[in-house]
Amino acid sequence: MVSKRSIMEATMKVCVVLSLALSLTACLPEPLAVNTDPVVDAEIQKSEADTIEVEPIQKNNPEESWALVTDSKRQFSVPSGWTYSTTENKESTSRSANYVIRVQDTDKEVVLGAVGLDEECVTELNDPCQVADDYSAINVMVYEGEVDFWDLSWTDFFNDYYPEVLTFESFVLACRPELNAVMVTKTDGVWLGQKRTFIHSKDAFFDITYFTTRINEAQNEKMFWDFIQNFGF
Amino acid sequence: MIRFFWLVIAVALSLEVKAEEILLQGVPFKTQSPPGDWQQNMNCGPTSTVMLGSYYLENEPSVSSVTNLLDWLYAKQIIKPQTNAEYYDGNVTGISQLEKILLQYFGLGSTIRQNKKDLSFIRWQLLKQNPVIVGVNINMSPTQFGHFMVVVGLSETQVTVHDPGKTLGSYRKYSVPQFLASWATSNYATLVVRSNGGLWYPDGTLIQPVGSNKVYVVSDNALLWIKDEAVFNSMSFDWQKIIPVHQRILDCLPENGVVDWQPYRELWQIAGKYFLFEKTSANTSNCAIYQFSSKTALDSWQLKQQLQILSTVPVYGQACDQGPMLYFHNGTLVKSTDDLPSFGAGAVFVATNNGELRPFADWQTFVIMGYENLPMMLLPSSAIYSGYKKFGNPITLNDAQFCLSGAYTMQGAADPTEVDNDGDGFSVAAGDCDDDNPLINPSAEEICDGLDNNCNGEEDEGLVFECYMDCGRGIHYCEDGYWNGCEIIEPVAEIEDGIDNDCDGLIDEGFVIPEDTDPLDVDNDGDGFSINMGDCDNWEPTAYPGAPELCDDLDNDCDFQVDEEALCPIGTECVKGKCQTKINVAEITCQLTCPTGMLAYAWWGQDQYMFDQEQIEISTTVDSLCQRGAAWIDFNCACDESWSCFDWADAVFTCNQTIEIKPGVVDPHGEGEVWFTNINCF
Repeated sequence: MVSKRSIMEATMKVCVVLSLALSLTACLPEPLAVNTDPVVDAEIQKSEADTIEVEPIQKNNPEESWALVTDSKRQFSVPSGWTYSTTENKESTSRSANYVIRVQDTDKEVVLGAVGLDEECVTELNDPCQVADDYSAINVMVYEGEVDFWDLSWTDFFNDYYPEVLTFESFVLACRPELNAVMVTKTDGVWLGQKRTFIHSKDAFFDITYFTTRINEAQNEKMFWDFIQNFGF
Repeated sequence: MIRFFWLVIAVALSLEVKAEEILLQGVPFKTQSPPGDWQQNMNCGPTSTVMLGSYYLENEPSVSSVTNLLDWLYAKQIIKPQTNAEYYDGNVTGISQLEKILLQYFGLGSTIRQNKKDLSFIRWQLLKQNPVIVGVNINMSPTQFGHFMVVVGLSETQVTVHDPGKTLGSYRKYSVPQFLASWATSNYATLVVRSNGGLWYPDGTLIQPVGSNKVYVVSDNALLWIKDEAVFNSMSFDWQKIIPVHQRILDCLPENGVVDWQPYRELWQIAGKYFLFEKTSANTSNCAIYQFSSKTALDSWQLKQQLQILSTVPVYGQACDQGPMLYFHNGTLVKSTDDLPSFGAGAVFVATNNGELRPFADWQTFVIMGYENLPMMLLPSSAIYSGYKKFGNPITLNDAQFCLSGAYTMQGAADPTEVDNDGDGFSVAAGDCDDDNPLINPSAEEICDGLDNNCNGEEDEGLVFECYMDCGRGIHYCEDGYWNGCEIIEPVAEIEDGIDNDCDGLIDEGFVIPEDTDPLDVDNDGDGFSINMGDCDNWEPTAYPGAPELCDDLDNDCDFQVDEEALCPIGTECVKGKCQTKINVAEITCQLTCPTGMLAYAWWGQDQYMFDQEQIEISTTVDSLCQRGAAWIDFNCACDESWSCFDWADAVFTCNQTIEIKPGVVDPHGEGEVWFTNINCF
């Protein structure tokens, strides 16, 4: 894996800082249908194959500014004060994401998943690792290129990449109704994240997961939906 | 034996070990949910330790095993509940926290924790019967979130794990490259309980079952519990020589007594010889004096008493019993620093039976038994000879695991892809594309049956032969599992003879046939007879009035009877157009014998069936045997009527006819078949 980490304010990757606020309530998901039938699923995909470019963030609230990041692979926006990192998976391991984006609201190390860091976690200055206890984070896993993802159905995708998924539900994001999005409703295996949604766009699948240990979960969750709204699928 | 004995053995065996599938059975599987549901459940680490705890402490894991552990973790503040999840969803754990659980919660003695890319470490731990906790990712995908699993198997190409993150998470296989990529994301976090795979040890070995605070010394194929630390020290036992082992050793070496006495001992050197003066206690007058065979032998006893240099035996010792000569102390590891005839340099022995030095058959046995971490005496051969009485037989892995039951079977038979189910010499892993059919394997001959007999991915390939008929030269090829006959590709020339010479369905085409010719006057088959002349088959040259009757299922002599009185070689008779040997026995008798305690079963004919304890006598007829179209009997030996285990290969089958015994072809699911090679069914 090749990893790079950047503080938003310092990175050259930040192209534009937009003092724009979000129309937050406009982006909540609305359930469409419970979907376990691959045939139905394929129809949904077909009808929603076209996607849009990243849209400018609306300026309604100057306190909430976002920065547009143009990475070599993707465009996405990061809330002010949050940091991001990207990891390109260059291993030839099958059934894994090609590209992972991590956005978080702390400079400390955030552990997503159940495997904690031990004493081996030291910084270059040999100081103890600063692992965050309180954080919110968004993790995006991008699957593309391994197979032809254009026409892959949701059922086949989950069978191959998330075999623990039993049922999932299509929904429409009010702010981006063109997105082919589903949420997993039942699994037969461990399933992490306070919120998690999958989006199929063109030749890629996106697994977008939201984690938070912060008490005001709802307030942070809106960041998750706004992040999706402004993501360049 | 050659020099560098151990090096050669070690290298050879490491290669051998690498080539085998190691699959640890008997490790209980537990899912991390319940407790809690799957959503945001982070109990994989604690649940992995529950699996190890249950394995070593020999109990069955349950939901309460996890909840009790979580209560303990919360109470000890090793972790705290997640903010936005259920109470029993646990939280992130690190490998050092899991180590605390194994040591403090389960009391499993000692652990090895490391962050090192070392597959060989995992391999050796599995050989020692130790499951290994590893930090990986969900679905073993390196880009997924971190997850703990328990490695229970390893081959050259695959890693087998218990994945607590799935309901059906037991014995899941992943490729080694995928495992390595995922393992790397945790910096190769690895945790294992320090334990060893021996279930037998030579006399004098100190062992401690994992999870127990009892230390035992092996004596006469049983265990003596060393009562306490004072006894341990007074007997001059060495704490470094305790080998941690699985609790199930108690099933193999029963606890047979207690060492609870603290002997009174003195060490004497008299006239260059070394003696042990010993009383069962300081107050008793009963005593014994033992002579050591050498100073080396004395050293191996690691006695703490001061050596007294005396000119003669003291008065208080003169009435003592004289004990046997003392050689290397039982349990001492001895390694030669020079060439030992028959063993070479570097050979390692363990002392037992007062002076018997037993080498190890191989390095693998030495390590699996846990000797690799014990202190050993490095001695030149001359010193070894001064302390030993004789060399014993090498200790083999069979010695060390003589009482292993099926539950602990170690080597790869449990990997279904590496088992040769049909007994044709090939497993699925070895390329057998149908492991239920012994006629199909990579070395089988391709035959015309619509199947891929030789497992090269093609069916009936290359089955083309030249053939010659009256019509000309042709090819005989297999199509859709059937031979096509002979397809003429170079027909002979048609001539004007009233016969279709080139087999194109036309007679004498190209020639002018007199219009007044009656077809019934034409001799199509050239046998000299036309239909009007009485030829009953004008296309068969062997059939005509007066022709000899042959055994060919035809009416050769045109008397409207087929094969009547057809001539056949002596001992055969004409049946269905072929001269066949007919068995003339009124009764066929067979005897099927299974091992003691097993049930013998046999089936034949349409619905003939017998079973009985250990042995059955079958009496039947050819007609009965042939009811299935061919003469054979299925048979098997079963442990009980519920067929909890069975093995046809254990049976002895004899008959009053020539028979061939082979794995089941007609019914390949684990039965044997007896085929009567001399009996043709008509």
